[in-house]
Amino acid sequence: MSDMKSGNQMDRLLAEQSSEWIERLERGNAQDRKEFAEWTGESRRHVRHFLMMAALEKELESFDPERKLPVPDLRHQGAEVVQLGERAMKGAAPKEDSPHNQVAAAPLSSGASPAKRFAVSGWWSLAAVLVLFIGLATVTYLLSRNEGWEELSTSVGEQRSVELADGSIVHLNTGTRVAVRLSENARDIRLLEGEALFKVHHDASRPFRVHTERAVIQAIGTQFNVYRGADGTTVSVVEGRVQISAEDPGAQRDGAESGTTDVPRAGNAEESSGNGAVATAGDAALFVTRLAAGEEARIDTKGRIEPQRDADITRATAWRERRLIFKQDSLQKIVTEFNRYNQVPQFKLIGTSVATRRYSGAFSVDDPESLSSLLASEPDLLVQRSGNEILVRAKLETGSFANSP
Amino acid sequence: MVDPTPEAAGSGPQLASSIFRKYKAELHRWLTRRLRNPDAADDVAQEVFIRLSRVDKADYVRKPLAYVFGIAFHVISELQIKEEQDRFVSYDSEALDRLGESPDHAAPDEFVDRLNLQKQLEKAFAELPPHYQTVLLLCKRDGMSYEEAAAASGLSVHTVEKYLVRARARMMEMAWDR
Repeated sequence: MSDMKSGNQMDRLLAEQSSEWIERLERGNAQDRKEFAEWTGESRRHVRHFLMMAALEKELESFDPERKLPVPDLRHQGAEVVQLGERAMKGAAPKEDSPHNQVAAAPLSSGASPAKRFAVSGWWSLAAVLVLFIGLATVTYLLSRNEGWEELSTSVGEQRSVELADGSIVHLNTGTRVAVRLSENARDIRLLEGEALFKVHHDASRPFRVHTERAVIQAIGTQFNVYRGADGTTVSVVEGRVQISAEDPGAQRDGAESGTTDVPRAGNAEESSGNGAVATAGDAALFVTRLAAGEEARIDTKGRIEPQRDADITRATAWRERRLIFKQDSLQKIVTEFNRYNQVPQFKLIGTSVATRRYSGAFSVDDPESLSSLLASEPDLLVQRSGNEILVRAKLETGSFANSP
Repeated sequence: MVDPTPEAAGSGPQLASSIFRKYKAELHRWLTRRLRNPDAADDVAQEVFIRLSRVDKADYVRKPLAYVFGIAFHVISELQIKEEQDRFVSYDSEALDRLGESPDHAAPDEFVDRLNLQKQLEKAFAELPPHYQTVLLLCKRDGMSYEEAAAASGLSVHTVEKYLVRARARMMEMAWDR
Protein backbone atom coordinates (compact mmCIF):
# COMPACT_ATOMS: atom_id res chain seq x y z
CA MET A 1 0.00 0.00 0.00
CA SER A 2 2.70 2.43 0.98
CA ASP A 3 4.54 1.33 -2.11
CA MET A 4 1.60 2.31 -4.25
CA LYS A 5 1.54 5.75 -2.72
CA SER A 6 5.17 6.43 -3.43
CA GLY A 7 4.47 5.23 -6.93
CA ASN A 8 2.36 8.25 -7.59
CA GLN A 9 4.85 10.90 -6.71
CA MET A 10 4.87 12.10 -10.27
CA ASP A 11 1.15 12.60 -10.14
CA ARG A 12 1.46 14.15 -6.72
CA LEU A 13 3.61 16.98 -7.98
CA LEU A 14 1.25 17.72 -10.85
CA ALA A 15 -1.75 17.41 -8.54
CA GLU A 16 -0.27 20.01 -6.22
CA GLN A 17 0.54 22.35 -9.06
CA SER A 18 -2.94 22.04 -10.53
CA SER A 19 -4.48 22.54 -7.13
CA GLU A 20 -2.41 25.64 -6.66
CA TRP A 21 -3.60 27.01 -9.99
CA ILE A 22 -7.20 26.74 -8.88
CA GLU A 23 -6.38 29.03 -5.96
CA ARG A 24 -4.20 31.43 -7.89
CA LEU A 25 -6.66 31.84 -10.73
CA GLU A 26 -9.46 32.65 -8.37
CA ARG A 27 -7.55 35.69 -7.28
CA GLY A 28 -6.91 36.14 -10.94
CA ASN A 29 -4.44 38.88 -11.75
CA ALA A 30 -2.90 39.25 -15.18
CA GLN A 31 0.44 37.85 -14.11
CA ASP A 32 -1.17 34.69 -12.77
CA ARG A 33 -3.06 34.20 -16.00
CA LYS A 34 0.08 34.69 -18.02
CA GLU A 35 1.99 32.13 -16.00
CA PHE A 36 -0.91 29.73 -16.15
CA ALA A 37 -0.99 30.09 -19.92
CA GLU A 38 2.70 29.24 -20.04
CA TRP A 39 2.32 26.30 -17.70
CA THR A 40 -0.50 24.74 -19.70
CA GLY A 41 1.58 25.27 -22.82
CA GLU A 42 4.44 23.23 -21.41
CA SER A 43 2.90 19.80 -21.33
CA ARG A 44 -0.31 18.04 -22.04
CA ARG A 45 0.02 16.38 -18.66
CA HIS A 46 -0.38 19.82 -17.18
CA VAL A 47 -3.53 20.29 -19.20
CA ARG A 48 -4.84 16.92 -18.15
CA HIS A 49 -4.17 17.42 -14.49
CA PHE A 50 -5.69 20.85 -14.52
CA LEU A 51 -8.87 19.66 -16.22
CA MET A 52 -9.22 16.85 -13.74
CA MET A 53 -8.52 19.15 -10.85
CA ALA A 54 -11.17 21.57 -12.07
CA ALA A 55 -13.64 18.69 -12.11
CA LEU A 56 -12.64 17.71 -8.61
CA GLU A 57 -12.99 21.30 -7.42
CA LYS A 58 -16.47 21.37 -8.85
CA GLU A 59 -17.32 18.15 -7.04
CA LEU A 60 -15.98 19.55 -3.79
CA GLU A 61 -18.58 22.27 -3.96
CA SER A 62 -21.19 19.62 -3.34
CA PHE A 63 -19.14 17.70 -0.82
CA ASP A 64 -20.88 16.77 2.42
CA PRO A 65 -24.03 18.76 1.58
CA GLU A 66 -25.78 17.79 4.82
CA ARG A 67 -22.79 19.01 6.81
CA LYS A 68 -22.50 15.80 8.71
CA LEU A 69 -18.73 15.88 8.99
CA PRO A 70 -17.39 17.66 12.07
CA VAL A 71 -14.55 20.14 11.66
CA PRO A 72 -11.54 18.72 13.55
CA ASP A 73 -10.34 20.85 16.42
CA LEU A 74 -6.73 21.62 15.58
CA ARG A 75 -5.87 23.05 18.94
CA HIS A 76 -5.59 19.52 20.28
CA GLN A 77 -3.48 18.29 17.41
CA GLY A 78 0.25 18.48 16.87
CA ALA A 79 0.92 20.53 13.77
CA GLU A 80 2.43 18.04 11.43
CA VAL A 81 2.26 18.08 7.71
CA VAL A 82 3.02 15.14 5.55
CA GLN A 83 5.06 16.19 2.63
CA LEU A 84 7.05 14.72 -0.16
CA GLY A 85 10.56 14.40 1.21
CA GLU A 86 13.09 16.90 -0.01
CA ARG A 87 16.47 16.03 1.32
CA ALA A 88 19.31 18.46 1.14
CA MET A 89 22.42 17.03 -0.40
CA LYS A 90 25.02 17.32 2.29
CA GLY A 91 28.39 15.76 2.69
CA ALA A 92 28.77 15.17 -1.00
CA ALA A 93 31.52 12.93 -2.20
CA PRO A 94 34.92 14.33 -3.12
CA LYS A 95 35.75 15.27 -6.66
CA GLU A 96 36.00 12.57 -9.27
CA ASP A 97 37.73 14.23 -12.19
CA SER A 98 40.35 11.56 -12.46
CA PRO A 99 39.63 7.89 -12.04
CA HIS A 100 42.58 7.70 -9.67
CA ASN A 101 40.84 9.80 -7.08
CA GLN A 102 39.10 8.08 -4.25
CA VAL A 103 35.40 8.47 -4.86
CA ALA A 104 33.01 7.80 -2.04
CA ALA A 105 29.41 6.97 -2.70
CA ALA A 106 26.76 9.37 -1.60
CA PRO A 107 24.68 6.91 0.40
CA LEU A 108 21.20 6.02 -0.62
CA SER A 109 18.58 7.33 1.72
CA SER A 110 17.67 5.28 4.73
CA GLY A 111 14.29 4.50 3.21
CA ALA A 112 15.87 2.58 0.39
CA SER A 113 16.78 -1.06 0.56
CA PRO A 114 20.52 -1.62 0.80
CA ALA A 115 22.12 -1.69 -2.59
CA LYS A 116 24.75 -4.12 -3.67
CA ARG A 117 28.21 -2.89 -4.38
CA PHE A 118 28.49 -2.58 -8.08
CA ALA A 119 29.70 -5.86 -9.55
CA VAL A 120 32.06 -6.42 -6.67
CA SER A 121 32.71 -10.10 -7.23
CA GLY A 122 33.32 -9.63 -10.93
CA TRP A 123 35.89 -6.99 -10.33
CA TRP A 124 37.67 -8.99 -7.67
CA SER A 125 38.13 -12.00 -9.87
CA LEU A 126 39.32 -9.84 -12.72
CA ALA A 127 41.63 -8.06 -10.34
CA ALA A 128 43.08 -11.36 -9.11
CA VAL A 129 44.11 -12.31 -12.62
CA LEU A 130 45.53 -8.92 -13.33
CA VAL A 131 47.65 -8.97 -10.20
CA LEU A 132 49.65 -11.80 -11.67
CA PHE A 133 50.38 -10.02 -14.91
CA ILE A 134 50.29 -6.36 -14.36
CA GLY A 135 50.84 -5.68 -10.74
CA LEU A 136 49.32 -3.99 -7.84
CA ALA A 137 49.06 -0.53 -9.35
CA THR A 138 46.50 -1.68 -11.87
CA VAL A 139 44.37 -3.26 -9.20
CA THR A 140 44.24 -0.05 -7.27
CA TYR A 141 43.23 1.73 -10.45
CA LEU A 142 40.39 -0.62 -11.26
CA LEU A 143 38.98 -0.61 -7.78
CA SER A 144 38.98 3.12 -7.43
CA ARG A 145 37.50 3.45 -10.86
CA ASN A 146 34.36 1.61 -9.85
CA GLU A 147 34.12 2.98 -6.41
CA GLY A 148 31.09 5.10 -5.85
CA TRP A 149 28.75 3.08 -8.02
CA GLU A 150 25.81 1.51 -6.27
CA GLU A 151 23.70 -0.96 -8.08
CA LEU A 152 19.92 -1.22 -7.80
CA SER A 153 17.97 -3.97 -9.44
CA THR A 154 14.58 -5.64 -9.72
CA SER A 155 13.73 -9.20 -10.69
CA VAL A 156 11.08 -10.22 -13.20
CA GLY A 157 7.70 -8.82 -12.21
CA GLU A 158 9.14 -6.69 -9.44
CA GLN A 159 8.94 -2.90 -9.27
CA ARG A 160 10.72 -0.69 -6.83
CA SER A 161 11.13 2.99 -6.00
CA VAL A 162 14.27 4.38 -4.46
CA GLU A 163 14.93 7.88 -3.28
CA LEU A 164 18.53 8.86 -3.90
CA ALA A 165 20.48 10.97 -1.46
CA ASP A 166 20.01 14.06 -3.62
CA GLY A 167 16.21 13.81 -3.39
CA SER A 168 15.74 12.40 -6.86
CA ILE A 169 13.54 9.35 -7.17
CA VAL A 170 14.20 6.36 -9.37
CA HIS A 171 11.34 4.00 -10.13
CA LEU A 172 12.60 0.68 -11.45
CA ASN A 173 10.39 -1.44 -13.65
CA THR A 174 10.57 -5.21 -14.00
CA GLY A 175 13.93 -6.83 -14.77
CA THR A 176 15.94 -3.66 -14.43
CA ARG A 177 19.48 -2.87 -13.31
CA VAL A 178 20.88 0.59 -12.76
CA ALA A 179 24.13 1.78 -11.26
CA VAL A 180 24.12 5.09 -9.46
CA ARG A 181 26.95 7.42 -8.59
CA LEU A 182 26.34 10.75 -6.92
CA SER A 183 29.28 13.06 -6.54
CA GLU A 184 29.90 16.70 -5.93
CA ASN A 185 29.62 17.85 -9.50
CA ALA A 186 27.61 15.19 -11.24
CA ARG A 187 24.90 12.62 -10.80
CA ASP A 188 25.42 9.68 -13.09
CA ILE A 189 23.10 6.74 -13.62
CA ARG A 190 23.84 3.80 -15.87
CA LEU A 191 20.80 2.03 -17.18
CA LEU A 192 22.35 -1.39 -17.61
CA GLU A 193 19.13 -3.19 -18.38
CA GLY A 194 15.38 -2.62 -18.39
CA GLU A 195 13.34 0.50 -17.73
CA ALA A 196 13.31 3.28 -15.18
CA LEU A 197 11.41 6.47 -14.53
CA PHE A 198 13.49 9.29 -13.12
CA LYS A 199 12.11 12.16 -11.12
CA VAL A 200 15.02 14.50 -10.88
CA HIS A 201 15.52 16.80 -7.97
CA HIS A 202 16.64 20.16 -9.28
CA ASP A 203 20.29 20.92 -8.68
CA ALA A 204 21.86 23.20 -11.25
CA SER A 205 25.38 22.55 -10.00
CA ARG A 206 25.23 18.82 -10.64
CA PRO A 207 23.96 17.55 -13.97
CA PHE A 208 21.78 14.46 -13.78
CA ARG A 209 22.78 12.08 -16.56
CA VAL A 210 21.46 8.72 -17.57
CA HIS A 211 23.85 6.64 -19.61
CA THR A 212 22.35 4.00 -21.82
CA GLU A 213 23.71 1.83 -24.57
CA ARG A 214 24.46 4.50 -27.11
CA ALA A 215 23.62 7.81 -25.54
CA VAL A 216 23.61 10.08 -22.58
CA ILE A 217 20.37 11.66 -21.45
CA GLN A 218 20.78 14.78 -19.42
CA ALA A 219 18.00 16.33 -17.42
CA ILE A 220 17.40 19.56 -15.65
CA GLY A 221 14.87 19.26 -12.82
CA THR A 222 12.54 16.98 -14.65
CA GLN A 223 10.91 13.58 -15.00
CA PHE A 224 11.55 11.13 -17.73
CA ASN A 225 11.31 7.46 -18.54
CA VAL A 226 14.05 5.42 -20.18
CA TYR A 227 13.37 1.95 -21.59
CA ARG A 228 16.31 -0.05 -22.80
CA GLY A 229 14.90 -2.77 -25.02
CA ALA A 230 16.53 -5.29 -27.31
CA ASP A 231 16.38 -3.02 -30.34
CA GLY A 232 17.24 0.31 -28.79
CA THR A 233 16.31 2.73 -26.09
CA THR A 234 13.19 4.87 -25.78
CA VAL A 235 13.27 8.13 -23.85
CA SER A 236 9.95 9.73 -22.84
CA VAL A 237 9.81 13.09 -21.12
CA VAL A 238 7.05 13.59 -18.58
CA GLU A 239 8.06 17.03 -17.36
CA GLY A 240 10.67 19.62 -18.13
CA ARG A 241 13.31 19.01 -20.77
CA VAL A 242 16.10 16.60 -21.46
CA GLN A 243 18.95 16.53 -23.86
CA ILE A 244 20.16 13.35 -25.52
CA SER A 245 23.71 13.07 -26.78
CA ALA A 246 24.87 10.15 -28.85
CA GLU A 247 28.04 8.64 -27.54
CA ASP A 248 31.32 8.33 -29.30
CA PRO A 249 31.39 4.79 -30.69
CA GLY A 250 35.02 4.48 -29.57
CA ALA A 251 34.12 5.14 -25.97
CA GLN A 252 31.40 2.56 -26.31
CA ARG A 253 33.85 -0.09 -27.42
CA ASP A 254 36.12 0.55 -24.45
CA GLY A 255 33.15 0.12 -22.19
CA ALA A 256 32.16 -3.15 -23.78
CA GLU A 257 35.61 -4.57 -23.21
CA SER A 258 35.59 -3.87 -19.52
CA GLY A 259 32.22 -5.54 -19.19
CA THR A 260 30.23 -2.46 -18.38
CA THR A 261 29.39 0.72 -20.17
CA ASP A 262 31.99 3.27 -19.24
CA VAL A 263 30.84 6.71 -18.31
CA PRO A 264 31.59 9.07 -21.15
CA ARG A 265 32.62 12.60 -20.59
CA ALA A 266 29.83 14.08 -22.64
CA GLY A 267 27.92 17.02 -21.33
CA ASN A 268 30.12 18.01 -18.45
CA ALA A 269 30.15 21.68 -19.22
CA GLU A 270 26.56 22.22 -20.19
CA GLU A 271 24.64 22.56 -17.04
CA SER A 272 26.15 25.86 -15.97
CA SER A 273 24.23 27.81 -18.57
CA GLY A 274 21.01 26.52 -17.05
CA ASN A 275 19.17 25.95 -20.28
CA GLY A 276 20.88 22.95 -21.73
CA ALA A 277 23.41 24.40 -24.11
CA VAL A 278 24.65 22.15 -26.87
CA ALA A 279 26.94 19.44 -25.60
CA THR A 280 30.66 19.78 -25.98
CA ALA A 281 31.10 19.09 -29.64
CA GLY A 282 34.00 17.03 -30.86
CA ASP A 283 34.50 15.50 -27.47
CA ALA A 284 32.08 12.64 -27.10
CA ALA A 285 28.73 13.85 -28.34
CA LEU A 286 28.09 13.35 -32.02
CA PHE A 287 24.46 14.22 -32.15
CA VAL A 288 22.35 16.17 -29.76
CA THR A 289 18.59 16.08 -29.54
CA ARG A 290 16.44 17.99 -27.14
CA LEU A 291 13.09 16.79 -25.94
CA ALA A 292 10.38 18.73 -24.17
CA ALA A 293 7.59 17.42 -21.97
CA GLY A 294 5.30 15.07 -23.82
CA GLU A 295 7.96 14.14 -26.35
CA GLU A 296 9.69 10.89 -26.99
CA ALA A 297 12.74 9.73 -28.90
CA ARG A 298 14.23 6.41 -29.82
CA ILE A 299 17.93 5.69 -29.85
CA ASP A 300 18.66 2.73 -32.09
CA THR A 301 21.51 0.29 -31.64
CA LYS A 302 23.68 2.35 -33.95
CA GLY A 303 23.27 5.43 -31.81
CA ARG A 304 20.90 7.26 -34.12
CA ILE A 305 18.42 9.41 -32.26
CA GLU A 306 14.98 9.64 -33.75
CA PRO A 307 12.20 11.79 -32.29
CA GLN A 308 8.86 9.95 -32.22
CA ARG A 309 5.88 11.64 -33.75
CA ASP A 310 3.21 9.60 -32.05
CA ALA A 311 4.62 9.98 -28.57
CA ASP A 312 2.33 8.89 -25.78
CA ILE A 313 3.82 9.56 -22.40
CA THR A 314 0.94 8.00 -20.51
CA ARG A 315 1.69 4.70 -22.13
CA ALA A 316 5.38 5.05 -21.39
CA THR A 317 4.73 5.56 -17.70
CA ALA A 318 1.64 3.39 -17.18
CA TRP A 319 3.91 0.69 -15.83
CA ARG A 320 4.11 2.63 -12.62
CA GLU A 321 0.54 1.53 -12.00
CA ARG A 322 1.36 -1.91 -13.32
CA ARG A 323 -0.70 -1.17 -16.36
CA LEU A 324 0.05 -1.87 -19.99
CA ILE A 325 -1.63 0.34 -22.53
CA PHE A 326 -1.67 -0.48 -26.22
CA LYS A 327 -3.00 1.49 -29.11
CA GLN A 328 -3.17 -0.33 -32.37
CA ASP A 329 0.01 -2.15 -31.42
CA SER A 330 1.14 -5.41 -32.94
CA LEU A 331 0.41 -8.56 -31.02
CA GLN A 332 4.15 -9.21 -31.08
CA LYS A 333 4.79 -6.05 -29.13
CA ILE A 334 1.96 -6.80 -26.73
CA VAL A 335 3.17 -10.28 -25.83
CA THR A 336 6.76 -9.07 -25.56
CA GLU A 337 5.59 -6.59 -22.94
CA PHE A 338 3.60 -9.22 -21.03
CA ASN A 339 6.54 -11.58 -21.11
CA ARG A 340 8.72 -8.94 -19.50
CA TYR A 341 6.60 -9.00 -16.37
CA ASN A 342 5.80 -12.67 -16.00
CA GLN A 343 8.16 -15.58 -15.96
CA VAL A 344 5.12 -17.83 -16.19
CA PRO A 345 3.23 -17.90 -18.44
CA GLN A 346 5.22 -16.82 -21.48
CA PHE A 347 3.26 -16.01 -24.60
CA LYS A 348 4.53 -17.45 -27.83
CA LEU A 349 3.16 -16.43 -31.21
CA ILE A 350 3.29 -18.84 -34.08
CA GLY A 351 3.16 -17.41 -37.59
CA THR A 352 3.68 -13.87 -38.83
CA SER A 353 0.01 -13.25 -39.52
CA VAL A 354 -0.62 -13.60 -35.80
CA ALA A 355 2.30 -11.42 -34.76
CA THR A 356 1.27 -8.51 -36.95
CA ARG A 357 -2.37 -8.31 -35.89
CA ARG A 358 -3.11 -5.08 -34.09
CA TYR A 359 -4.96 -4.51 -30.88
CA SER A 360 -5.80 -1.71 -28.52
CA GLY A 361 -6.41 -2.19 -24.87
CA ALA A 362 -5.43 -1.63 -21.30
CA PHE A 363 -4.24 -4.52 -19.18
CA SER A 364 -2.86 -5.24 -15.78
CA VAL A 365 0.67 -6.62 -16.06
CA ASP A 366 -0.23 -9.16 -13.40
CA ASP A 367 -3.08 -10.55 -15.39
CA PRO A 368 -1.72 -12.29 -18.49
CA GLU A 369 -4.82 -14.46 -18.42
CA SER A 370 -6.88 -11.49 -19.53
CA LEU A 371 -4.88 -11.29 -22.73
CA SER A 372 -5.10 -15.02 -23.13
CA SER A 373 -8.87 -15.02 -22.86
CA LEU A 374 -9.20 -12.03 -25.16
CA LEU A 375 -7.23 -13.89 -27.80
CA ALA A 376 -9.13 -17.09 -27.19
CA SER A 377 -12.35 -15.24 -27.95
CA GLU A 378 -11.09 -14.39 -31.43
CA PRO A 379 -12.83 -16.76 -33.84
CA ASP A 380 -9.77 -17.29 -36.04
CA LEU A 381 -7.19 -17.80 -33.31
CA LEU A 382 -6.21 -20.91 -31.45
CA VAL A 383 -4.85 -20.45 -27.93
CA GLN A 384 -3.24 -23.44 -26.26
CA ARG A 385 -1.41 -23.88 -23.03
CA SER A 386 1.76 -25.94 -23.18
CA GLY A 387 3.64 -26.17 -19.92
CA ASN A 388 4.65 -22.66 -19.00
CA GLU A 389 3.83 -21.30 -22.41
CA ILE A 390 0.69 -19.99 -23.99
CA LEU A 391 0.84 -20.69 -27.70
CA VAL A 392 -1.15 -18.49 -30.03
CA ARG A 393 -1.63 -19.37 -33.68
CA ALA A 394 -4.05 -18.75 -36.50
CA LYS A 395 -6.58 -21.52 -36.95
CA LEU A 396 -5.98 -21.76 -40.69
CA GLU A 397 -2.24 -22.13 -40.31
CA THR A 398 -2.49 -25.17 -38.09
CA GLY A 399 -3.62 -27.27 -41.02
CA SER A 400 -1.76 -27.36 -44.32
CA PHE A 401 -4.51 -25.50 -46.12
CA ALA A 402 -2.40 -22.48 -46.93
CA ASN A 403 -2.32 -22.62 -50.70
CA SER A 404 -0.25 -20.24 -52.75
CA PRO A 405 -1.62 -18.76 -55.98
CA MET B 1 -27.07 16.99 -6.15
CA VAL B 2 -25.84 20.39 -7.12
CA ASP B 3 -26.37 21.35 -10.72
CA PRO B 4 -22.91 21.46 -12.27
CA THR B 5 -23.69 24.22 -14.76
CA PRO B 6 -21.85 27.44 -14.05
CA GLU B 7 -25.02 29.47 -14.36
CA ALA B 8 -26.53 27.68 -11.38
CA ALA B 9 -23.42 27.91 -9.23
CA GLY B 10 -24.53 31.04 -7.45
CA SER B 11 -24.73 29.15 -4.18
CA GLY B 12 -21.02 28.28 -4.18
CA PRO B 13 -18.25 30.60 -3.07
CA GLN B 14 -18.46 33.70 -5.19
CA LEU B 15 -14.92 33.65 -6.49
CA ALA B 16 -15.33 30.20 -7.94
CA SER B 17 -17.53 31.59 -10.66
CA SER B 18 -14.49 33.21 -12.28
CA ILE B 19 -12.94 29.79 -12.78
CA PHE B 20 -16.06 28.10 -13.98
CA ARG B 21 -17.63 30.77 -16.10
CA LYS B 22 -16.84 28.85 -19.26
CA TYR B 23 -17.08 25.40 -17.78
CA LYS B 24 -19.82 23.34 -19.33
CA ALA B 25 -22.04 20.75 -17.72
CA GLU B 26 -21.15 18.21 -20.42
CA LEU B 27 -17.48 18.78 -19.78
CA HIS B 28 -17.99 18.20 -16.11
CA ARG B 29 -19.95 15.04 -16.69
CA TRP B 30 -17.23 13.67 -18.90
CA LEU B 31 -14.44 14.61 -16.53
CA THR B 32 -16.09 13.25 -13.42
CA ARG B 33 -16.48 9.94 -15.16
CA ARG B 34 -12.75 10.06 -15.98
CA LEU B 35 -11.78 11.02 -12.47
CA ARG B 36 -11.97 7.34 -11.79
CA ASN B 37 -10.23 6.32 -14.99
CA PRO B 38 -7.64 9.01 -15.65
CA ASP B 39 -5.95 7.20 -18.53
CA ALA B 40 -8.90 7.90 -20.74
CA ALA B 41 -8.48 11.62 -20.20
CA ASP B 42 -5.06 11.68 -21.73
CA ASP B 43 -6.17 11.71 -25.36
CA VAL B 44 -8.36 14.66 -24.63
CA ALA B 45 -5.56 16.50 -22.84
CA GLN B 46 -3.29 15.84 -25.80
CA GLU B 47 -5.78 17.28 -28.25
CA VAL B 48 -6.51 20.27 -26.05
CA PHE B 49 -2.79 20.83 -25.68
CA ILE B 50 -2.26 20.81 -29.44
CA ARG B 51 -5.16 23.16 -30.12
CA LEU B 52 -4.04 25.52 -27.38
CA SER B 53 -0.70 25.81 -29.12
CA ARG B 54 -2.51 27.12 -32.20
CA VAL B 55 -4.39 29.81 -30.35
CA ASP B 56 -3.07 33.33 -30.70
CA LYS B 57 -0.76 33.74 -27.76
CA ALA B 58 -1.92 37.21 -26.77
CA ASP B 59 -5.55 36.07 -26.74
CA TYR B 60 -4.70 32.98 -24.77
CA VAL B 61 -2.77 34.81 -22.10
CA ARG B 62 -5.68 37.19 -21.61
CA LYS B 63 -8.30 34.48 -21.08
CA PRO B 64 -6.54 31.16 -20.55
CA LEU B 65 -9.38 29.51 -18.65
CA ALA B 66 -11.96 30.36 -21.27
CA TYR B 67 -9.75 28.73 -23.87
CA VAL B 68 -8.85 25.67 -21.84
CA PHE B 69 -12.43 24.89 -20.92
CA GLY B 70 -13.85 25.95 -24.27
CA ILE B 71 -11.46 23.81 -26.26
CA ALA B 72 -11.80 20.86 -23.87
CA PHE B 73 -15.55 20.99 -24.34
CA HIS B 74 -15.23 20.90 -28.12
CA VAL B 75 -12.68 18.11 -28.05
CA ILE B 76 -14.90 16.00 -25.83
CA SER B 77 -17.95 16.59 -28.00
CA GLU B 78 -16.00 15.48 -31.05
CA LEU B 79 -14.57 12.50 -29.22
CA GLN B 80 -18.00 11.27 -28.23
CA ILE B 81 -19.07 11.30 -31.85
CA LYS B 82 -15.90 9.49 -32.89
CA GLU B 83 -16.20 6.86 -30.19
CA GLU B 84 -19.51 5.84 -31.69
CA GLN B 85 -17.81 5.17 -34.99
CA ASP B 86 -14.69 3.43 -33.73
CA ARG B 87 -14.77 -0.23 -34.39
CA PHE B 88 -11.39 -1.76 -33.65
CA VAL B 89 -11.00 -4.36 -30.96
CA SER B 90 -10.77 -2.67 -27.62
CA TYR B 91 -10.38 -4.20 -24.24
CA ASP B 92 -9.90 -2.92 -20.73
CA SER B 93 -9.61 -5.60 -18.07
CA GLU B 94 -10.17 -3.13 -15.26
CA ALA B 95 -13.15 -1.52 -16.89
CA LEU B 96 -14.66 -4.99 -17.21
CA ASP B 97 -14.00 -5.66 -13.56
CA ARG B 98 -15.66 -2.43 -12.62
CA LEU B 99 -18.67 -2.92 -14.76
CA GLY B 100 -19.17 -6.58 -14.00
CA GLU B 101 -18.81 -8.05 -17.49
CA SER B 102 -20.82 -5.41 -19.28
CA PRO B 103 -19.04 -3.90 -22.27
CA ASP B 104 -17.22 -0.62 -21.96
CA HIS B 105 -19.59 1.58 -23.88
CA ALA B 106 -22.52 0.63 -21.66
CA ALA B 107 -21.23 3.06 -19.06
CA PRO B 108 -23.20 3.46 -15.84
CA ASP B 109 -25.40 6.51 -15.90
CA GLU B 110 -24.22 9.86 -14.77
CA PHE B 111 -26.05 9.85 -11.47
CA VAL B 112 -24.40 6.62 -10.35
CA ASP B 113 -21.07 7.97 -11.53
CA ARG B 114 -21.28 11.05 -9.47
CA LEU B 115 -22.62 9.20 -6.48
CA ASN B 116 -19.65 6.87 -6.67
CA LEU B 117 -17.29 9.77 -6.99
CA GLN B 118 -18.76 11.49 -3.97
CA LYS B 119 -18.40 8.26 -2.00
CA GLN B 120 -14.83 8.00 -3.13
CA LEU B 121 -14.15 11.56 -2.10
CA GLU B 122 -15.62 10.86 1.31
CA LYS B 123 -13.27 7.93 1.68
CA ALA B 124 -10.31 9.99 0.56
CA PHE B 125 -11.33 12.76 2.91
CA ALA B 126 -11.33 10.36 5.85
CA GLU B 127 -7.68 9.59 5.17
CA LEU B 128 -6.55 13.19 5.14
CA PRO B 129 -4.61 14.60 8.09
CA PRO B 130 -6.95 16.60 10.40
CA HIS B 131 -5.43 19.93 9.34
CA TYR B 132 -6.28 19.30 5.74
CA GLN B 133 -9.78 18.16 6.69
CA THR B 134 -10.38 21.30 8.69
CA VAL B 135 -9.30 23.66 5.95
CA LEU B 136 -11.17 21.77 3.28
CA LEU B 137 -14.44 21.77 5.22
CA LEU B 138 -14.17 25.42 6.19
CA CYS B 139 -13.20 26.73 2.77
CA LYS B 140 -15.11 24.42 0.47
CA ARG B 141 -18.13 23.05 2.25
CA ASP B 142 -18.72 26.11 4.43
CA GLY B 143 -17.63 28.59 1.77
CA MET B 144 -15.33 30.61 4.04
CA SER B 145 -12.62 32.92 2.75
CA TYR B 146 -8.99 32.22 3.74
CA GLU B 147 -9.26 34.88 6.41
CA GLU B 148 -12.44 33.47 7.90
CA ALA B 149 -11.06 29.96 7.84
CA ALA B 150 -7.86 31.17 9.48
CA ALA B 151 -9.82 32.81 12.28
CA ALA B 152 -11.97 29.72 12.77
CA SER B 153 -9.08 27.27 12.82
CA GLY B 154 -6.30 29.25 14.47
CA LEU B 155 -4.03 28.71 11.49
CA SER B 156 -2.41 31.56 9.60
CA VAL B 157 -3.96 32.75 6.35
CA HIS B 158 -0.91 31.55 4.46
CA THR B 159 -1.16 28.11 6.05
CA VAL B 160 -4.83 27.87 5.22
CA GLU B 161 -4.09 28.38 1.55
CA LYS B 162 -1.18 25.97 1.64
CA TYR B 163 -3.21 23.24 3.31
CA LEU B 164 -6.12 23.80 0.98
CA VAL B 165 -3.90 23.34 -2.05
CA ARG B 166 -2.40 20.17 -0.63
CA ALA B 167 -5.68 18.80 0.65
CA ARG B 168 -7.21 19.02 -2.79
CA ALA B 169 -4.11 17.50 -4.35
CA ARG B 170 -4.27 14.59 -1.93
CA MET B 171 -7.96 14.08 -2.62
CA MET B 172 -7.12 13.91 -6.29
CA GLU B 173 -4.38 11.38 -5.77
CA MET B 174 -6.51 9.15 -3.62
CA ALA B 175 -9.44 9.37 -5.98
CA TRP B 176 -7.06 8.13 -8.69
CA ASP B 177 -5.38 5.53 -6.59
CA ARG B 178 -6.86 2.44 -8.22
